[in-house]
Amino acid sequence: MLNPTTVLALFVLPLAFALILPVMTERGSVLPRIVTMVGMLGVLALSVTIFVGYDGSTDPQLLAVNVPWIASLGVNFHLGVDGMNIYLMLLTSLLFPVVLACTWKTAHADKKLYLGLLLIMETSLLGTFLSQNLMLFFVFWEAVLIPMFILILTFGGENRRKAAMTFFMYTMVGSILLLAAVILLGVESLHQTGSWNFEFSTLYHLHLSTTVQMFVFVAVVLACLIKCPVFPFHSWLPLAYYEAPAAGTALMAGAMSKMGAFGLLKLAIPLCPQVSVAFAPTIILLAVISILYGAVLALRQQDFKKLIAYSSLSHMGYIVLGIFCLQQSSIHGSLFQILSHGVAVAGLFLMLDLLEQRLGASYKQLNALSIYAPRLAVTLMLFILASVALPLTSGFTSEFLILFGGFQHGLQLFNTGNGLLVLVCVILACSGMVLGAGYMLRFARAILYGKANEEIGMKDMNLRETIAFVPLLAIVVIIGIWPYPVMIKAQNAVEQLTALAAGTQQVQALPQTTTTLPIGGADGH
Amino acid sequence: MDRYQFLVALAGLIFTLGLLGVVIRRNLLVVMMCLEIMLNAVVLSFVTTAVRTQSIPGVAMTFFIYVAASCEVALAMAIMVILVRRRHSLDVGTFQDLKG
Amino acid sequence: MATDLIYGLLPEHLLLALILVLMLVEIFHGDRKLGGVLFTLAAAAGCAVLAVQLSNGYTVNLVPTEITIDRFALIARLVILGCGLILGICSLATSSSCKFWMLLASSLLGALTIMDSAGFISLFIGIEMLSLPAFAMMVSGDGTSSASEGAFKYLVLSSVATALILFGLSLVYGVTGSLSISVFMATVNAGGAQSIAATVIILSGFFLKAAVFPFHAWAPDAYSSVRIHITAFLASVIKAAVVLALVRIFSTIALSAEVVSVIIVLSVASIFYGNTTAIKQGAFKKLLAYSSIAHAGYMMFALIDSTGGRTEALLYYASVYALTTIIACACFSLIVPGDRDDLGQLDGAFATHPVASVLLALCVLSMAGIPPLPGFLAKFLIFKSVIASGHITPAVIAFVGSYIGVIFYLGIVYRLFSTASVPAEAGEAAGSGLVWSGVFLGSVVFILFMLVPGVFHSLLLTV
Repeated sequence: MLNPTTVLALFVLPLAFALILPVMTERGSVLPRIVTMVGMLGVLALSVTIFVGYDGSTDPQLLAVNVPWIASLGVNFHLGVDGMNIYLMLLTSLLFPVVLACTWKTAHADKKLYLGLLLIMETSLLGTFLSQNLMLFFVFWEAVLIPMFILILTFGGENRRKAAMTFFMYTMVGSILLLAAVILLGVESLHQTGSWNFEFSTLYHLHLSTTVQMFVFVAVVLACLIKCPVFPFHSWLPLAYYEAPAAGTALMAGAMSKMGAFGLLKLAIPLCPQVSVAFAPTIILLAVISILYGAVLALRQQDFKKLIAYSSLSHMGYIVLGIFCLQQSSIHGSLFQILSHGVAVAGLFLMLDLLEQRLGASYKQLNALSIYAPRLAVTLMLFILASVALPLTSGFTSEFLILFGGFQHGLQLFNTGNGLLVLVCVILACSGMVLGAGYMLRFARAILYGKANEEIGMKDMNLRETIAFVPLLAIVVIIGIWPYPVMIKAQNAVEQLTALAAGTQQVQALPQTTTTLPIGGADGH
Repeated sequence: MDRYQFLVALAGLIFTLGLLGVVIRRNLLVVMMCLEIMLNAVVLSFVTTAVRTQSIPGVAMTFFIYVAASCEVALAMAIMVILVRRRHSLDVGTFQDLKG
Repeated sequence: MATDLIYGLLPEHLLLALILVLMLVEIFHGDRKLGGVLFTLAAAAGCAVLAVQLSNGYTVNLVPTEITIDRFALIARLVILGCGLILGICSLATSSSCKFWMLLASSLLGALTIMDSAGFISLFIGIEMLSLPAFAMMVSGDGTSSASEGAFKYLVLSSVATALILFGLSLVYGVTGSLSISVFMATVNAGGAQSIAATVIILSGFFLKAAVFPFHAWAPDAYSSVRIHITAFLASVIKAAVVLALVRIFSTIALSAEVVSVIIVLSVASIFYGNTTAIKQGAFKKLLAYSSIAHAGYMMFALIDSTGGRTEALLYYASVYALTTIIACACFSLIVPGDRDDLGQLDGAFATHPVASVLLALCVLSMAGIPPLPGFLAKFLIFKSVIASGHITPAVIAFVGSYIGVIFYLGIVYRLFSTASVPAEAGEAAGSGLVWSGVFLGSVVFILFMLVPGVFHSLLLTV
């Protein structure tokens, strides 16, 4: 079943269903929701097929769609599955049906706009993760913003206008520099290969001068750190995550934030290896500050939704830490953390929404959930434990690998006389795990235990919601207990990435290609 | 300088005067006249060069310029009639409805 | 030779015949609707002829150094005539007399003449024929005095622009002794004080016609004082024609450094000014005017390119911009009935007019430059040529300017999707079926531009 049409179908299916939606005229009937669900489940089935059938040695051509879009500029519609994006593909296709199932009965799901926006977001996210052409990547990177903007604007909370505008404009700042960097890379490929080419495979083999690498690195890192978000650029997070509707928050925290991490893996490190290695300690420092800052702020929150939002900030710091330690173990850890955190935080936000559906705004004063609704309580507890990184959950596998790789890197730097910074950072990151346990378990105690209020009657999880959460919990447990078969799929890609960063694959001498263009080169006037 | 350069410079001077007039003068009809002054300055420049280089295109251009100028003036007069009929004044200052 | 004259200029002949027939219809008090129908038929026939000529690769040098039909002429005329056709279909519903269609046809005829020209005489004639009917269109059938005021301001400044262009041409004529465009280009590149002065003066004239920053003052007044289909015409066809006239003159030749620095400063200033001032606007047509100042800035920015990608980039940008303006104005007229201009009328429009709101939102986001819409691809084509020519800092500054522009475009999308407190009327305007067919045609072309952005590149290459 592994052939290019599967990949193309993955991308086209949500778009096709989104275009069918306006034709359906029933308002308030279940038909639009059912049709959307069918579409999302189809995408999930395709993606699981690809995931199961893929192993590290699959021929990349078998799972790639390459159609010229702007042929003269080397911009192709090139989608492909490789070791780096296979987890993300699975995560994205998994989250959407779960989100729809959990918000099935809300007033939003009645509206075709809501369903259409979800489908378009699915297409754009899959496009970002699967794209193998830099320009196409940028197009989808930006295209994700529009449906999310409209979603927050139309279905969000009280402060939604400010949240939506802040979210959009803040994220676009990074994108502008990213566009300049993208075009600069295209110009470099023009100078070095004689024709415009934005394919990743071509761009990875260019010889980029240090100035160009610096500019591209700064631009990409800025855009990605804003997207995750990571410490200095996180101020849009509390507003946007709080005001968005539950589906929006779950998808933002679960899938969109991973776009930032993916950008670092796909763009920053392979395109600018020398500059990445040089700047890695700084980014590691920022990541660790993010971990601790998010944890400390989460400890002080009384509002559950804000607490989980800050915990998301903290966990994204682990992912960025793992990526920039540039060790095989830490990158594997980051990839697992992407999957695990995506699942766990989406699960947490969706559970909070389930409570809100049942109790209205007074869910914030809830306690003793374990007495009213045991199934809800157990599921919530499992997601909390995954977030806390309890051994046998996926959270533990990922954080252990990240910190292990971090220690390797820190000791390496220390032994070669490059200072203590990274080692200290990693030790501080470990303390972040303790803080994480602190606020998460406080949250668990507040909501799950305590004295029950006799008047509140609440329905437990019904069949639909239970089925929706099963796949998420399955991932948490499987990666926690037996991660090896999943890990082996990404092995080749991770090996290549670390070899690139370590310089063994890079041609050492930088040939001084004299450009023949009389007008000034790409470095400026 | 020889007479051709002098004439082109003169044309430039007249053009500038016309441009100044369009910007500064407050009477609608005078503004139109200044536009015509500008176009005539251009014609002077074209004819001078045509005589100097003994070539036809400059002279041909003159005819086209006059045709275009006449059409412009005809339209401008028609619009001016509509404007003046409303406000009964030829002063540019009375037509400040649109604030830009 | 004679058949070439007829076949090569067939679209122009069709429009001319249309004007004469419409005059006869007007004299004999024929049906008012007939004007619109005849115009649509003539424009569609012209587009078909051009498409056939393009697929055959038909080029001919009709009148040496004056009129030449080359591939650019075919493509540019197709773009202009196509935009005119879509605009015409969208305006069929307005109760316009035959005069409107005559004026529209004359203006398009002027635009087509510009695209054919290889000499400055026909270029000048084309420019005059483009603008003069526009002045008349602005005042005809409109009783308000603000329309005549806007038209008069536009007329005076447009004539000043023409005079500037002519003066520059006379200086060029003084240097070269010929009025052919190719000789002009060769001289401009050779340098010399008089050539550079002439180029700057001619550019100032064109900037004044296109409403680029220091010469933008007429645009908000002219655009906001007239009815919306005329605003659409001014903002789309006339601006696109002026920009393509510049492309016709300068084609792919690199300009000298002084001229390039002037263009950089003026276009970047235009982008910033247009985007910043548009944020505060509360009326749709004024917003369109200020955003068109910014778009003129982007288009002029493409002129500094020295890699030869200028023609393709400007053809694509001009056509995408003209198309999105026409569709946006048509959707606005569908949502807001009558002649009201207030942006507040758009609040909550998605609930009552879902399809029109979505199309308006898509057009507005395309103008903002959000991927994957064609507006982004157009900006990408321009910026890639500019960066490849080595001007990185101006490009980054222009990026920042375009980012500022996103603010007010997002504001429009916000209004469309916000839940209005007062439910607006959900009634359909009369004759909206015709507007819908125009919008539908425009949307199909819009999607085609999104799927095949390289269309102009492949069309420009000689087969």
